[in-house]
Formats: sequence, C-alpha cells, structure tokens
Amino acid sequence: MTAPGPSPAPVDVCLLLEGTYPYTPGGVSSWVHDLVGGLAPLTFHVVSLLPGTTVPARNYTLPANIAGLSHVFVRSLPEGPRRIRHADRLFAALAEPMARIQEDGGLRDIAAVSLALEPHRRRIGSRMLLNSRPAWDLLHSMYHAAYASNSFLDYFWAWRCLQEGLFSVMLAPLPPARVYHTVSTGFAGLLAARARIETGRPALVTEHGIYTNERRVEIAMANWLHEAPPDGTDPGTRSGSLADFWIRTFVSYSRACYEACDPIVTLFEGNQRLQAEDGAPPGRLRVIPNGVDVSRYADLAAARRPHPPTIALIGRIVPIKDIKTFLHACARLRKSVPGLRAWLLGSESEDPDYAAECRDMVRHLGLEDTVTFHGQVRLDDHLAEIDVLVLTSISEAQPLAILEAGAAGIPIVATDVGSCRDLILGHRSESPALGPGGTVTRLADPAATARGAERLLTDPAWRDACSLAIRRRVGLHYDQRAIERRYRDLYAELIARPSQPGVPDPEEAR
Amino acid sequence: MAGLGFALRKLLHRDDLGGAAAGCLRCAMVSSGPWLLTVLCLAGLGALRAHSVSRDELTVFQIIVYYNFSFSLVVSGPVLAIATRHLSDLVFTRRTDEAMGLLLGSLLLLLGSQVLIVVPFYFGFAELATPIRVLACVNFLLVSAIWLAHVFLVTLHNDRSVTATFAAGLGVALAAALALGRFHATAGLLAGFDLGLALILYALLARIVADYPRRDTGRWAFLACFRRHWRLAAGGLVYNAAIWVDKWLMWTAPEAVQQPCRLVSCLHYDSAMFLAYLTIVPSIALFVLSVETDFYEVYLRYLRDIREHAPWSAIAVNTRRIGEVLLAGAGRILLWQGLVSSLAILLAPRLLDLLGIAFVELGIFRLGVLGAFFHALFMFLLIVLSYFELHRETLALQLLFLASNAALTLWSLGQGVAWYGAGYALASVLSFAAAGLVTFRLLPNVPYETFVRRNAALQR
Repeated sequence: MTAPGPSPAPVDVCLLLEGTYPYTPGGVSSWVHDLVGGLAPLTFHVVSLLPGTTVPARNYTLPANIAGLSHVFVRSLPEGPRRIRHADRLFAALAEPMARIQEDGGLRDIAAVSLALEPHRRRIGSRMLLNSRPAWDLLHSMYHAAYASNSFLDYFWAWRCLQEGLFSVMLAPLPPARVYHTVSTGFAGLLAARARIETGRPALVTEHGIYTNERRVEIAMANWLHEAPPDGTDPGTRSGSLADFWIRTFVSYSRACYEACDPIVTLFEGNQRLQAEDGAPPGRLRVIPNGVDVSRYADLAAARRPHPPTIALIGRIVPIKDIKTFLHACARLRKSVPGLRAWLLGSESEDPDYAAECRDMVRHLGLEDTVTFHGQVRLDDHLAEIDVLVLTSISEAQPLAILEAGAAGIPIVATDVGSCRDLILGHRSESPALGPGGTVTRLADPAATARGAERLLTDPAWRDACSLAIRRRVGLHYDQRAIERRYRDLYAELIARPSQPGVPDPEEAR
Repeated sequence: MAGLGFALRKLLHRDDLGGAAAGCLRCAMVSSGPWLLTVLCLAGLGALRAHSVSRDELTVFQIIVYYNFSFSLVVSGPVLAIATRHLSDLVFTRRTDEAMGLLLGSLLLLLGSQVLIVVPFYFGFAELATPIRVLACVNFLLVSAIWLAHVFLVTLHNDRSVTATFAAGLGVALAAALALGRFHATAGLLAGFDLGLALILYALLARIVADYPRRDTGRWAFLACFRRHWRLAAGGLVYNAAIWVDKWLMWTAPEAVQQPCRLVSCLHYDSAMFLAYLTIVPSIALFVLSVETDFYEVYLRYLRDIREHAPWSAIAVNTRRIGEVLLAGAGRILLWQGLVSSLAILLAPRLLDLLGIAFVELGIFRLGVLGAFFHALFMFLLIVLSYFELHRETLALQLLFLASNAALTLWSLGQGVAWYGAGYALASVLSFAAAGLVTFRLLPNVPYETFVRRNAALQR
C-alpha cells in the first residue's frame, strides 16, 4: 500500500477501482483511461483494489493528470499485533453492525464498523481481526444468528474471505480528494461509502455492470457451494444458505454505497431497476452512457478495403461471452456464405481452459479455415475489413465494441442483453427514429445469430440501411466529447458542494 | 467485468485442516515403547543374581548397560522425534517408498553423531579393559539403533509383533549374558547381552526391509524437519533428560559409589526406581490398547465431519465426545492404576523382601511408585496434546518436568535418605497437574485450535 505523505494537497477526483485500471484490459479500464485523459485540467488519484499481494503489470500508460496511484489488497490484511487494549470493546462494537451486514445492512452499519476500527487504524491486522479468540467468537455468533444449518467449514472460509475484504477496505488509507468516484459497488463502493462518511466530501458511483448481479451469476455458476445442509440440523433454526450469505453481504455493501453516493450513475436504463432493488434511492439515479471518439471511427470507415465476407466477435474468450454459440453460428453461416471469414478478437489468457475448449470446437466443426483467433489486437487495424460485428454474450452492460464498430458504420448482430437493444434498435424515446442498425437475437441461439449475419452479408440494401442507422445513432447519443462534458459538469457541481461528514440522510435524495 | 471474482473453490477445498494428526496413530506405542523396554531391561538386570560372576563384575556390567540406556535415550531423542514426524508425514501422504531412504539417513545421523560421544567416553574417561570398551560402545549403538527401528516398525505396521520381538530378544540377551558371563566375567556378560540386542535389531530391521522397497530416495529430506519442527526435536531431548535427571543427580548422594572404572552409580536408588516403574506397565497397556484407540476414533470422526461439511451442531457434539472419551479413559486408568499402585505401596515391605532387596530402598520404592503413577498420567496427556499439535505447550510442560525434577531432587538430597525419591514424585505430581490444566483448558477450545491456530492454510 502506498502510504500518503504527511498532508498531500487534495486531488479533484479520487477514482476507486476494483481489479481493473490500469492493470486488466477491458471495457471498464478503457472507459476510465479515456475519461481521465479527456478531462485534462482536472487532477485524479486512482485507488486500485486488488486481489493477491502483488501489483500486476500495467496495461495502460497513466495520463499526466493522474497525480497518484495507490493500492488496497483486499485478500491480505497486515498481521498486526496479537493483542490490543480494549479488544472486548472493539468486538462488542463490531458485533451488531457485522451481523446486520450479513443479512440486510447498509451505510449505518458500515459507519459503525468504521467508527469501531478508528482508534486501531494503522496498527491492527489479521491476527486480531480474523485469528483472535474474540474474532472466533464473533464468527460464531454470526454463524448462529443466520446460517447455523450450513457447513461450518464453508462458512468459516466464506466469513474470512468477506471480512478480510471488509477490514482491508475499512483500514486502507484514504487519499484526500474533493470528490470520490467509484466505478462499481462491492469493495470499491465500500471505500467510497467510507470516504463519504469520514471526509464529508461527495461520492458518486458509475456502475457499468451491476455488481450484485454479477456476483449472483458467479455464485449460481459455482458448484462448490454446498447448498444442501447435511442431515442432523435442527429444522427450527432460521438459516439462509451460504449463497445467501455471499449475496446478502454484497447487497449490504451495495446498499451502503448507494446510500453514500449521489448521483448513482449507470450506462443505460435497464440497470436502474436492479439498482433500485438493491436499495438505491430512485431520486439519485442517472444514466450517462459510454462514449466513443466518433470522428476517429468515421475516418476508419472511409478507409475500407476490399476483402472476403467477414464477421467478427470482439471480446475476451471467456464463458460469459458464449464463444461456443458464436462458433456454432459460424458453422451454419459458412454454408450460405462461401468464403466466410470469422474473427475472434480478444485475449485468451483469462480462462485458458475455456479457450482450449473453443479451439477444440473449431477443429470438431471443421472451421479451421474460417475461424481465426487473433488474440488481443489494436481494433483500428481490423475494423476496415469487418462487415458484421457479432456478440453472443450472456451478459453485457453497454459493450464498447458495439459503439466502436457502430461509429465506423459496421452493423451489429447481438444478443438481447444489457443495452444492446437500445444501441441496435434505438431507445423508445429516440426521435426522430433512426431505424435498426442490425439484429437483436435471443441468448444462445446460433441459428438466429447466423440468420442475422447472413442477411447483413447477402442483402446490400439492408446492410447499407443498418450501417447508416448505427453510425448516426452512435454519433448523436454516444459521442465521447459529449459524455466528457457531462462528467466535467458533474464533477464541477460536486466539487462545489460543501463538506458534510457523517451518514447522509436517506431522504435527502433530490 | 468490474470486480475481483472469487478464488473460493481453492479456499473451500483445502485439506490441510488437522492433516498431520491422521498420521499419528500409535503415538503411545512410539513414545512408550523404548521406555517400557528400558524399564523391563533395567529392572531385570537389577534383580539379576549370578553365582558364577563376582559381585563387582556384575555391578560393572549393570552400570555400563544402565549408562548406555540412559544416555542413548537422551541423545537419540531429537533424531527419534524428527524421524517419527517425518515418517508420519510420509505415511499420511502415501510416500512410504521413501521410508528406506529415511531409515538409512536417520540411522547414519544417529550412529555417526553418537560414535563421537560414546567412543571418547569409554576409551578416554572410563578405565576398562579394551574388550569391554569395545563391547560397551557396540552396546550403546545397538540400543540407539533399536530405538530408531522400533519407531519405523510401529509407525509402518500397526501390529504388536514388536512387543513379542522385544520380549524374546530380551530373554535371549539376559540368558546369553549369564551364560557367557560364566567364562569371561564382565566382557562375557556384555557380549551375551549385545548378542540379544543384536537379535532384536536384526528382527526389527529384517521386518522393515522385507516389506518396503529397497530404494534409497529422499535420504536427507528429514533434515529440513529439524528447522520446521525444532520444538519436537527439543522436546525429544528435554523429555528424556527429564526422565533421567533425578537418577543422574543421585550420583552426588553420599550413598553413591564410584567404581574403580570411574563410573558412578547409586544402586539403591536405581534398582528401587526401576522396580517402581514396573508398576505402571498395566496403565501403559490400557492406554495403548484401549484409551488411545477410542480417543483416536472420536478425534478422526471430528476431523472427518468438519471436512465433510458438517454444521456446527455436529462439530459441537464431536468436541464434547472427545472430552467424554478422555475423561472415561482417565477414569479407567485411575481406577486400575490406582489399585495397582496402592497395593504396591501397601505391600512394599513384603514385595522387597520377596525379591531380596535391601530395606533401605523401601521408602524410595514407595515414592517411586507414587511418582511413576503421576508420570504415566503426565505422559498420556503429552500424547493427547501432540495429537492436537500443541507443540509449544508440550515443550513447556517437558521443560517444567525437567526443571522441577532436577530442582526437587536436589532439594530431596539435602533432606536425607528418607526423602530420596520425593523429588521425582513431587515433580511428577506437579507436571501432571500442569498438563491436566492445559488439557482441560484446551478441550472446549478444540475447534478454535483446529480452525484457526493449527490451520496450516492460515500460516503465511
């Protein structure tokens, strides 16, 4: 952890990022990079929350207006002393808020945890907070309060994992800033909540994907969670499953973040229902979409080269992108479109097993001459030779790939997830209506994906209409310059707000 | 996707929770075997009456054997403790093909280091005829090698043939000693005795070599264990020194005799003590054959239930059951051993008379019986604590036993013959009380120990 100096001058905006910029490439990281670079006179400090114990290799060159970069390792508390004075008092103060956090907590509970830890900051660590006898008793009382029918071993590990994250965030040094901006809820959202309470400076959140929803998907896919408690449990005890323990805890973190942040921004309307379900006050919700540098992509569109019919999927080779459906669609499409090329543009390193399965599938389907894995590439080099952008994702927020391809006039075939429908067919409020920029399909429907792409590849009039519509839509609603202006104005408004330390009144939503 | 994701699969599927304990069965056999052999052997020697050998020559033989058993057990302690631990790990991780390498490595270390002690002692310090010197050195090394082979046999095989081997070998040793002693006095006694010990060693080694691949891999891997488990190694030294320290200190008593060969002994004390030790054989048998097995079963069940995702209610039941089994075992041992020890104390005059032992030893014998009673209980508690991997506490208790036995024996020396043995008895009571306190404070905390303090996955 990079300790802040004695009294550094506050930056304008402190960005709180969980496991992304400037390390992991992807939509969120690119968004941060472009936004910060575009708001040049404003100064930023980036706090990166990381798993593990080491800082990974950077994938971005920091713009000059990033004045500082510090780290919070959420899986490794320092050891700290074995004994402290008034440990009983500390754990007595932690017991109630922590028990609420594992069921339905919020900002008040986070504030109580933060307050209890305040006198011990900079000294206390895992020996006291996780491994001590009072910590064991706390774990016990929390287990018995809500999850007593579950595997104790599993609860034990889950508890340690969640509380280690909570304590790391509560004990991390906070760089001074005029505004705290978190780009997700979760642990980064917790840090924003803490910053709001402790410094009184305004906090805002921009959610790309909905954190609790992503955790739900992850937990639903995890077969290691022992859902069914073993025999011999007392049916009278009130007890949620371990999956509940995980999800309710993350919902509490999200709720605390929402209660602390104003405004609560997301990329598209569809997300707002989920945010409200997790406790976001409706009056604070706002939409600010992603943007792209429209003029740059327009230039690329002009430089199109003659080439065989080409479809491309831009995205990491991971299960959530459902690459296998894309490959099945390619197998169908190849029959109706001779000479078809299908490109996969995205890193394979995140889930090597899945990538290997995909390569096996290419061999099984006899697609070796059609499908090419290009790895992570500079999109600009390839856009000029792509006819149709295809997305088969199971989950998306507002895919940057659609905006980039759309700005270059490339029509889209995408699954009905996130804001893909609004991007391709236009929001219901769009006026004048610009018409479809491609096709929206159901999830995991290779036939529909193939049909959509086939029409775009074989019907030039349809293709041109879609190309024009998508380019105009992106140019009107998703221009990076306009988006930057909205953030610049938002930051200016927040910087001007007076400081109000303490837990904000939930009714104060405007 | 923003967010850290979970690497939880790994977290939830760690198997190292209490892993080492599974390799620990027969702990009691490992730790009480050598002691039992020593007791039987020295008590037997103490009762030895040979008409064909002069009293002095017999005494020299007895003293040499006595010295060898005593010092061999102490200086072998660390290597034995580490070899036992490493072998348990090999068994637990199913790498018994490295057992031969370990046997060779530890045997070389054990004998190599002891030659450096024993040769200067017999050739430089003691004044003996050369054949006796050689035979005494051989005897020392044989005894040490037997300790080590015993560890291997008991850990690798859970059978009791080893007891029969000991008994038979010991019979041969004593018989051969008497037979050869008739012709060559001390040297003959020693040669016969060495022959018996060599037979025991041969039988033990043959059994190991026959059953395990003769592959010499990982010979020195156990050396790393000395660093990781230094407390175990230190415990091996301290505990064995604690057992002997009162006997060594008694060499400074006015009744102690220095033989012409410069070796000192206090025969009254020693023979009374070893006779007293014989009285705890029943409780060792009871512990090895029954209590430890019961305890091991509930402890294993406790660990298995945790690993198989039991809820706390089941873990709490198992924790209670561990306590119940230990209490029931303690009750049984107290009852039977209490009976045996009380009888021995009450009938002491008649018993000593029967064995033709000097009346001087009566008081020492009675105190010895009392001490041995608590000493046995103390040893059982140490074994229980070692299952829970409480090495720090175990070492502290061993140090307490050493320090109190030394201090109180010195004190008793100043009080006169009537108090001889009181030091050992009091030290045993004190150490047992401390060990009992540690154990019964531990019992309700067993899950905390398992999950947090002994959880290898949490040691970064």
